[in-house]
Formats: sequence, structure tokens, C-alpha cells
Amino acid sequence: MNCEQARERLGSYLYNEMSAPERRRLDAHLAGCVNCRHELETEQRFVSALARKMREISEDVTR
Amino acid sequence: MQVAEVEAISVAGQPGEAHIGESVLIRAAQEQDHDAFEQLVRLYDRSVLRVAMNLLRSEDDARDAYQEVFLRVYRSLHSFRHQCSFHTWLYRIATNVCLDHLRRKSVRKEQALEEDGDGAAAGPLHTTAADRPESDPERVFAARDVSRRLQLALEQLSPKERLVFEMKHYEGLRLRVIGEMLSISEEAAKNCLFRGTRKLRAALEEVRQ
Repeated sequence: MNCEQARERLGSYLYNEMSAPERRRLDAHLAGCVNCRHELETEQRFVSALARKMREISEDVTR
Repeated sequence: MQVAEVEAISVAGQPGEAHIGESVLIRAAQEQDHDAFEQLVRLYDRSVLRVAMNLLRSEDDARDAYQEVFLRVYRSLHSFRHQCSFHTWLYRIATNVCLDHLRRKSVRKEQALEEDGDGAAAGPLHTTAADRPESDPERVFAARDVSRRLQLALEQLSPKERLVFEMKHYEGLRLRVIGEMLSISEEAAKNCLFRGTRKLRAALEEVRQ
């Protein structure tokens, strides 16, 4: 897997929508690529913060 | 997470018995037993209202949608064949009703913008995360009015993008299930989710800079 293919798959990885074999291939790429790891960490922080904020909004709306 | 909550409403602690009970209720309601239909509504009414509130963000719209959902359920219950779970079937109706509401709202908003002579409805959403790899996600969300801006950004998504995004985040549903409910492929649901996420990120970052 190259960097371009890895980055295309980061969304599926973060939303836990990836098959186990595909996940293993991406993990193998990430283990050897510092740039893609950095990209994943940034995306991960964004998606986690977004999910937290969405929960807060949902609690406000449905209270 | 929230999927468990949704399922808990349908199983009420005793999965086997509750499903048998639900199935009996559905069959009775299909044979015009109004009490059975009322019990079925009571079993799911909070779940439907919660979904509508999350998707439509307006109590009035959510209540309209809620009534429309159960009206559609009442009219089409005879066509339920017990081939999928009642919850999936009901949820499909609820999301379709909400999608119709969002589409109508979106058309009204576009018409209003056209009347105002404002063609820039898309705003800053054409930028992507890849354009700003140096940005700091925590700082984006630390802004004081981020909730309001996030809600505005959600309104900029297409109805389908927004529905997929919110079903994923609020209901914790798998993309395969979301696709089934919206009659689109899993791949299309995935594209909606990722495109929506990119647009939200771009919109939130754009305002901060």
C-alpha cells in the first residue's frame, strides 16, 4: 500500500468501517510511514473532537 | 453506544420474550387492533422523536415528522412482512420522512437565497482538510461559539450527507445499515459521510482563520 492509498482509507479506519485484512494492510503501512501516521493522528483528533461536540449538541437538543 | 439504546427500546430487557411480544403486537395491529397499534407506538415513540430531534433540530419540525412517521406506519403496516426487524423498517420510514423535511427546507432556503440575489450558498465548504495539514483540531473546537458554527455548517451539507453523518454520529449505525435504510449502497453512504466530515472541517477551520 502506498501513501495515496493509505490516505484514501483513513476515513474508513477512523470510523471503524474497515475489514480486518484491509486494516492490517493499513497498519503495516502506518508502521513504516511517519507522514501517514501524522496525518492519521491529526484526523483522529479532529474526528474525536467532532464526535464529542456532536454528542453535546445532541444532549442539548433532546434534553 | 447509542445503537444499544435504540435496541434496548425494542427488547426491553428480555430479548426473546420482547421480540415475540412485539411480533404478536404487530400481527394484531395488522389486523386492525387499535390497542395493539397504540402499544406499538408507545414502544417506539421516544426513539422516533429522538431521531427526528437529532436530524431536524427543531421541536416543531420533529413533532411534525413524528406524526407523519406514525401516520405512514399506520397506513403501510399491512405491507410489513416480518422479513427485517420492525425497528429497521420503522427507522427507514423515520429517516425518509426526515430526509423529505430536510429537502423541503433546503429548497426553501435556496429559493430565499435566490430571491436575495446571493449566489454564494456553498460558503467556504469547497476547501478540504488536506489543504491545511498544519491545523490543530483541538483549537478549532475550543472556540467559544463552535456549537453554533457546527450547527450552521451541518445545515450547509446536502440533506443526504447530513442524514448519513448524523445517523452515524447520533445513532452509531454501521454504514451498511445506513445504506439499507436510505436505499443507497454502502459505498455511497461512506462517500456521504467522508464528504460531510471534510466539509465540516473546512467550514470550522475557515471561520477560525
